[in-house]
Amino acid sequence: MRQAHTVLAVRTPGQGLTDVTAGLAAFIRDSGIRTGLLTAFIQHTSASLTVQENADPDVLADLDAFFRRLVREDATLYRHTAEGPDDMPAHIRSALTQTQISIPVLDGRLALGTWQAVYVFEHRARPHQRRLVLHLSGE
Amino acid sequence: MRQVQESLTIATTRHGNHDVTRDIAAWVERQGIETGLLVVLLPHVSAHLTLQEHADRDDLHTFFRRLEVRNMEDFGEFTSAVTSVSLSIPVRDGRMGIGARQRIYLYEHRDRAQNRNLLLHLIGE
Repeated sequence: MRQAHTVLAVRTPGQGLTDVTAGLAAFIRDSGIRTGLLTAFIQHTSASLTVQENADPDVLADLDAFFRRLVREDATLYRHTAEGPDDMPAHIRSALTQTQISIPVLDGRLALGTWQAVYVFEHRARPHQRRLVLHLSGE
Repeated sequence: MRQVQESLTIATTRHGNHDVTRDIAAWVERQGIETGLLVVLLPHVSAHLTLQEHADRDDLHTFFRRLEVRNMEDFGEFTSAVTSVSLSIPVRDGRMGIGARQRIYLYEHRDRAQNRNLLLHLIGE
């Protein structure tokens, strides 16, 4: 068994989903590992990871709109308001989604379904540089 | 590649967040594994695990309380659908690769004190 690890920097344009599947696939390809387990871990508490449909961009827009309705930007609801009206809702949205994802690697590729992609879900209003720690073990 | 496993007992004192970062970090750093993957499993149905900032834990508690009140009948199912009982965390340079502001919380959903088990599995070398 071998291991590989790296940090992938992802630039997000503000609230919404950014497809990082290609970045994960390139890391797997460069490692030369054909069969194994990939774990992606985001080092933040106001952005998260999710696996979602990659075909219709309306799905991503609807998902983002659903989370805006579920977790309202209303300063009267929160104590932690010092970092802006979008900050505490961002932490809650992050708590309701995933900080890490583990995906099997088969034949040197992520074992995702045809319509699945891995997204960084940015919950802050402004663009951010996000850090993903990638770990791959296998052979 | 080596593997090590441990079961930690965490005594929760009340409904809400309990910071378990130090317990887990100390165990990882004692294992002498430089590169690997840590899996943390919480084998309970009325508690969950989350990675959050220290500053936000009260607001998060309030948010879950409001959800509980709104969805009392099916809260158990709803909670387990939107929260997690396991975490996978890469280990680099002998330490958990978490962000500078990330803490690991065990979120207790019961009002009374409980003893919770945390199963730790570390694989690497």
